Amino acid sequence: MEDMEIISLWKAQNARIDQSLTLNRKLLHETLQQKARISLKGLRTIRWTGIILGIGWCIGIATLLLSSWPVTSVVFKISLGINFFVTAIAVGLYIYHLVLIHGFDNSQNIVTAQQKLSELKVSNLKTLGVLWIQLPVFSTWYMSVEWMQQSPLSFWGIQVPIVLLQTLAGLWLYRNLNIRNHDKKWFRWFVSKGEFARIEKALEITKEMEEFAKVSQ
Amino acid sequence: MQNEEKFLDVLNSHKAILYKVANAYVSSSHDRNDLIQEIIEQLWKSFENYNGQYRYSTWIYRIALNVSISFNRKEKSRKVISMPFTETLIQFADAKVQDEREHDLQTLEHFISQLKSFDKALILLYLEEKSSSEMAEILGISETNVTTRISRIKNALRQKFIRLGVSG
Repeated sequence: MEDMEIISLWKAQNARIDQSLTLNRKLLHETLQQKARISLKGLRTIRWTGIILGIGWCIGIATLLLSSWPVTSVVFKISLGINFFVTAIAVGLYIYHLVLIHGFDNSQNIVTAQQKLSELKVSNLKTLGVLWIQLPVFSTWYMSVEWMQQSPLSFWGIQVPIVLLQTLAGLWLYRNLNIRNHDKKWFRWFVSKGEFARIEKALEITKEMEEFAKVSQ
Repeated sequence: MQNEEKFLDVLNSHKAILYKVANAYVSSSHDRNDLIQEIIEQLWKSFENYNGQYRYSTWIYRIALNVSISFNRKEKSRKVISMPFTETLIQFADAKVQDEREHDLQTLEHFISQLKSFDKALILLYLEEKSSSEMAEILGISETNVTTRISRIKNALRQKFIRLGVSG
């Protein structure tokens, strides 16, 4: 079948469609007057949940830190301070994402729009990466000079290696939980779980788009 | 209100685009209605910013294709939250005519449905006889890329028709 025949076949179908379609103006009027469904609802929900939980967590940490200030150790204060600071950064990132989602424009060309959409979908990864940095503070807040002096074996032999391992793991995840690793097996396993299935699908589209936008040889 | 009437007139003149794009990206009529509704909502949302820089058809194609590509990704989860409309925004009175071309058309539609999202967008625009420059503008790729990709897809389609014994 030649090109012109294929196009003429499509045109015949078009004529049929044009004849068969009727715009339901009454229903359309009603729909347009209603508040349109919020676009990118899923992406917004995750961010709003993160912002609300993050602010709640920060308020809790700040309250605990300030109310116990005179009686707590420096290590405790630093641990909670880092936790507060990192959570606040994550909240800030989520707010930034919401601004980007709000400004997303579907009338851009397909490659640009889909690229931005995929970036928005995987932007949660960056926030997650930042949150991993604070991993060791969950094991440092109860450390004390007394513990080090009274039980050096458990302190240096168990606690410090745990904190070091958590630090290394946190830094590694911060650096590697990145879209550039989307081809790696561990990354795909990591993002295929639960809510992150959305990211995996965005990555599939990114891959397809990169292939599509590549100048053909 | 005047704006709404103008929007509905534009929509009425281009309603077939919505139907054809939605039809290429989803298989069931329920999903198609849901997708058309989302496209219309996005068009309406974008209508106040429409500045006439592009033709209405280009603007509609961009939004319809972008929404459809994203929609395809979340098709399963959307089934749960779709609006329970008993009527549809665009009604299709399927006056199917059983002629010898029906089979060819089904083959063509089946071929399109099997393409990846971006190639699907490309072939839809090609079948609508858009120029290479307009296709490049809608898709955001170079004209050279458009020409090469179209040629590959057409070859694959030709092969499919040959395999099925449709010579034309």
